Amino acid sequence: MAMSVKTLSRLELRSIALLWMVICDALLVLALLENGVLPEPALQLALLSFVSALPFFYLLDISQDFLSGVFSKLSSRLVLLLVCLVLIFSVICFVALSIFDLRQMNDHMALMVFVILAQGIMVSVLSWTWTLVKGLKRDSAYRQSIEGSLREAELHHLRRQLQPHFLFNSLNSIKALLLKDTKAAGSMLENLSEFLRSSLNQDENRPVPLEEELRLLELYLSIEKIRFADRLQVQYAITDEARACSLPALILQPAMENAVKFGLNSGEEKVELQLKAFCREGGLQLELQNPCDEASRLSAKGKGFGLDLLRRRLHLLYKRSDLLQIKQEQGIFTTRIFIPQ
Amino acid sequence: MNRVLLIDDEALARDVLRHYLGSYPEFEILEECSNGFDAVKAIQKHKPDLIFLDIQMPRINGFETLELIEHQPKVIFTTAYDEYALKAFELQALDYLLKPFSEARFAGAIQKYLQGKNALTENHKLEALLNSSGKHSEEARRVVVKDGSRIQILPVEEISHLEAYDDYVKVFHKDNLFLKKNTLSYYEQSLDPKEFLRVHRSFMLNLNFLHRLETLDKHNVLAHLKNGVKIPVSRAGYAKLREVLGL
Repeated sequence: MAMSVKTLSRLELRSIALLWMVICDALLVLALLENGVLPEPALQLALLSFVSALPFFYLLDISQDFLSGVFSKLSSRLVLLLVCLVLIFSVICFVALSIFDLRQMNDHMALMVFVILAQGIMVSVLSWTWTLVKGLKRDSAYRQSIEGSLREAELHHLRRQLQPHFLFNSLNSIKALLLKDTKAAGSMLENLSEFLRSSLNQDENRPVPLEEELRLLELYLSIEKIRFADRLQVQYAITDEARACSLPALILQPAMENAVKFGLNSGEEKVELQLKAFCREGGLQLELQNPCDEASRLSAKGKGFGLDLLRRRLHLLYKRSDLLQIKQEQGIFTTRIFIPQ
Repeated sequence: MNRVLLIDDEALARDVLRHYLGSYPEFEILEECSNGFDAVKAIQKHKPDLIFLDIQMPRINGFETLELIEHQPKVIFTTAYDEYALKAFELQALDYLLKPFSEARFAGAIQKYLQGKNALTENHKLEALLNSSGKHSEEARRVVVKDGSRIQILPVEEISHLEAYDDYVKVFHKDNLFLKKNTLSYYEQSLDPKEFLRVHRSFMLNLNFLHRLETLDKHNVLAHLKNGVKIPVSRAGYAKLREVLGL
């Protein structure tokens, strides 16, 4: 609907311009014929006036749009050729007229020049207004798209923190525990609250010691372990040196969440995860391994598996795109994160 | 007696369902499944009247599970998050329980089942539509098929084309052909339109498999695929192809 209105107004604008010119020219020709002055050159003048208006269209970058709109079946090259021919023809006419009949039709000539100029101004004003309106529309569309992506980023960020699936599934597990083991339910609730509090309070740009991030990870894993009972096992290999290193907050936990989801999705009865952290030249190296299968990789695409987001964050923070690396071989998925110190 | 299956990958979530169902002696739990593979087998084996089905599960998800079974029980979805509500309604779910749900809410779902009501009230549907607007369901990256008793997961990149066949769709994967009880329109919506194009009333092709187009006469175009298969292209399909390929 909006589309057709737009096309219509665009066509209308140009039609009015053209119509106005044709009327002017017709009036002129009529006036000349009625006065009986120089009927033959008058016709030439009318022709001149009409064809000389076309170069204005062309020069104002209006002819191509307009003509291709009208002659949509013809190729635009043909139209352009036509316009050029008309342009050359009008120049020839003008030159011929000015050489042969200039003295006789001085008055008419002046009138003609005035009309042609008026046509030119009219067309340029219309075309300029059109371009302006189009530009404004484009600007507002651009602004809207920027606002859209900003909001999307914000939403993404929020979703990242709230992790609705994790949150509601955990609440459901607590509900289940309340039926049979209220003590376990209580401690799971405490862990969940503590985890939510810590991750909500984190300032994403502030570096935290690995030790602190590991504590958050423990909280998170304690909840997942209750949800998936003995299916989940995590092995750590973390050097003391690495513990003292710092990293941006909430880098490790999303990677671990991804590994847990991925691992559980593989359908293995026992899911063994491995986390290594050590220092190597210039920074902290984190290595996370989980079992996976091809099928779960396919379902994982674009499903809130947080690695894309993590990569984006690392890129924003360090202006490097090689910090997060993933590898999949023999049913093991490895996530490597390097944090420059 | 109403025969029931519980399908959820979290044991605790099944505990809640079992506990709630305990108050209804006319319901019998036949089996509990913790993933889609087991669920397909159990449904075929027991032919239950009603299943409680989680959506996010290992291996194959709840929707894919439903695609693979011939016996269609009544389905009550149980899930933690409402991003799937719309799809669940499209699949004629009896009800859609958001975890954690109360006993009263569960009783409502059971009532619906007992009254033989299908689908939800219009209000619910509308609400779900509103909630889901703007949430685009992501394009499927895989198609799950059954090969005898074996379940196979086909990456969409390896599927060359699809063909409508009565109530089924033929899925062509490498040298194999799988039948799925579905429609081409379904795949038109679920597969990435930049990758799969419906070029004919009965055919969809994977653009990455397109080798060349042969014009037989004014109204007949044939698409040659890289694997040697030839597919008829309708006039509308040809127009779509030209647009996508930028011809």
